[in-house]
Amino acid sequence: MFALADCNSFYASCEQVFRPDLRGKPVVVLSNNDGCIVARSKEAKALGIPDLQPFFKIENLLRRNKVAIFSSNYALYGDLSRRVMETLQTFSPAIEVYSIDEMFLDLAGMGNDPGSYSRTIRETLWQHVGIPMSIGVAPSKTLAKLANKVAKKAPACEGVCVLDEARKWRWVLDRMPVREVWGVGRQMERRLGDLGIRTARDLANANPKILRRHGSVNLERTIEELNGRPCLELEDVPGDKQQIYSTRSFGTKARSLVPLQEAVAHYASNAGEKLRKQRHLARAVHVFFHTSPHEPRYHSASAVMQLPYPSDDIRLIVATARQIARNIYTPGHAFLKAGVGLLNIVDRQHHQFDLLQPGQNTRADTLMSTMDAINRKVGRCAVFLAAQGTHRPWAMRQQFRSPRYTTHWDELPKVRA
Amino acid sequence: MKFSISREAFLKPLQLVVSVVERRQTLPVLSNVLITLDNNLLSLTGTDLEVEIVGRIELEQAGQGGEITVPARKLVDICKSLPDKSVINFSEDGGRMLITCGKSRFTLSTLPASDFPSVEEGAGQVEFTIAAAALKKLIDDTAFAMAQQDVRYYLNGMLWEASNGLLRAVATDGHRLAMSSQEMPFSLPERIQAIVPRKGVVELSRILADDGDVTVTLGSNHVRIQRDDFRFTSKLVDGAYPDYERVLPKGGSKYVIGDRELLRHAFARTAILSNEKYRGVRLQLTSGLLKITANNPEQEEAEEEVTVDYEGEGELEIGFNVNYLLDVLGVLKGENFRMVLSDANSSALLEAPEADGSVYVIMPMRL
Repeated sequence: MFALADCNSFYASCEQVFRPDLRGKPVVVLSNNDGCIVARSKEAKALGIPDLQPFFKIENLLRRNKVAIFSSNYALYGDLSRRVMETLQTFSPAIEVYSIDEMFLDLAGMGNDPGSYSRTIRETLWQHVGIPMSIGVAPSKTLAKLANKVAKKAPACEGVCVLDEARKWRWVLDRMPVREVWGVGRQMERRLGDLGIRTARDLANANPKILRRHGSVNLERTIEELNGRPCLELEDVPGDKQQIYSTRSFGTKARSLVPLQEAVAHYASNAGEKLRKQRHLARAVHVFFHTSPHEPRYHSASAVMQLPYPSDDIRLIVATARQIARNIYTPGHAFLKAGVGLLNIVDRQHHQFDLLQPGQNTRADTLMSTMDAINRKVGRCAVFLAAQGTHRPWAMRQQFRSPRYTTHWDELPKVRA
Repeated sequence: MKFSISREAFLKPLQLVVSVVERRQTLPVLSNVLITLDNNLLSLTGTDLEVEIVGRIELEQAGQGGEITVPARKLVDICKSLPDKSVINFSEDGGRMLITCGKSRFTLSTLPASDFPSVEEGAGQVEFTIAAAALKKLIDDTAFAMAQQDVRYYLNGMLWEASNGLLRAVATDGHRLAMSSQEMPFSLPERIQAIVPRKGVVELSRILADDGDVTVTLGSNHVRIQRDDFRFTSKLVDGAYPDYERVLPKGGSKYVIGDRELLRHAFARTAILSNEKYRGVRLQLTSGLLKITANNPEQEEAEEEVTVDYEGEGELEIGFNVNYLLDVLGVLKGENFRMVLSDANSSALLEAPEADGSVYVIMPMRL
């Protein structure tokens, strides 16, 4: 049996953990740069606030209903996510962290009553971290995902739904549109619709060999999984990224090359940090920026440049990114967004030496690991390249960000007694 | 223009030139082949602006001279699909090329010959005659090591170097280097270097036959190889080739001699379970024995032991991309191979023990 444990309205719930006064009240969290709504508490959903709605369009509605508004605070969410996973790990030796707020647990050998075991998990998590959670249990990961949806939607479940018998999951499959099935996207939904497959049950009953011609082996696996025959195992080691991107909208639009280069240097530096964390080297750098797509005279620019040798040296990566920015920049535009990607990533462990080019020297390696060590100890961006700028007028808007309660000494919550 | 020719006689020069014509073209005329008839000498020309190939054939019966260009692929497809041993008649009329053969009849669009670009030719620096087979050997022994789309653009080709008494071909992508030399009766005041672009090298290897001689003209910005029935011209890569002699390992303390085929098969088998992306294999060298191991992210493992003659101090453990080893063992000739190593971070030199003019250098991988 697999369990999918999924935190309810995770970002909004995180904001409520250190603000007990907001429990039971409507809370929303905005995306980067305060662009649109990405999380809503149960009460905010009840007010009819739509998901992924641009903030400026519904600001009045939020104010009228006294909704608590937060900018995204990834330092807080990341740390609380880690705490959630730590607690869950005590309930099963085999787990898979699927996303920041979702985790699969293998319940094999964990007793005969997955329902009451799941309720214990839920209660323990509430006690340890203060985050509400829904748990779906089924013989396959795909069914566990569906069970979780039921646990979230049906109040009678009280947060736990166990589909351990065919008659139970068939009852659910009959009532689920095929779009709700894990791995079925909009495209696939349309293609399946053309074949007369509209509910999850239709898909479960379809002939896998015939459908394989319309999808891939993955679709065939999904069909098996919907019938309670597990094909997907837990992926306990998250795969390393093949390419690393850092992309942000600007708080203030960039109208000249200087802020653009600063932002690009900053994003390149972020991507470089991730690259070093997974112990890889990049062979090429991609830089792009564009103006607002909602305004006239849309303009975008993008280019890739090879590095002279595979590297994780932030000085080389930033210099290359700035060079690309200079090459592709044309004046007369107000740029809204920029991004930097590190491409053709290779594992340091399998590094192929070059006859003509000695590659990155050990001094650079030492400098990078020292820089990372300081930033880990003292705080992110304690040491950074001057090219990243010091004022950063382009930095994203976060006008409603809550304190980083758990990761910054000067932002610790204070309790007065 | 008007002439008749047998299908087989026409296909030979046509197939020689057509592969240089790219499928997607910037200029429409570049997807055409130029047909020229002058005093019974029929010439067909294909070009991609970098490489130009002319195929030539003498007509048996006189025709009416002229020059015109027609779509290359369609011309090949038509001629190939006609019956064997048939005679094809060509005649140009009012901007169309009429092709007839028995009861078949085709009309092809044309573009004027004056639109057809020719690869510009500079002054030749050195000209010599060489056996086609010898030139082909130089190319085929080294071409595999050329880089592909490397930012170091001068590596995306093959270095030809003429110096006193020697013609040499060198190719490297930075990870491995292949060098092959051929003695030549040159006497040159200083050595001449030319980088032939990758596509030119590939085309040349295809058209060079094993018999007869060819004349080679090395210019400052082009190379030309010709014979009665073809003329190959390629622009050169404008750039300085790296100092390849500097990267040839000097000395080396560990010498391995072994059976080439035996080792090649051992590597080919180990390669199956090496990491699909990085292709690393581990070589462990002890007295008289070479142990090869590989593993992949699925934790599957392969192990091979090969008996070798090993001279040198101590043991050595070194990693290589197995594809690079297989490439070299595939082009080496003779029964045995010789490998010279020094340590796990230094390049290895491979060659046939009975020196045949070709040497190979491979850089290791981190283990």
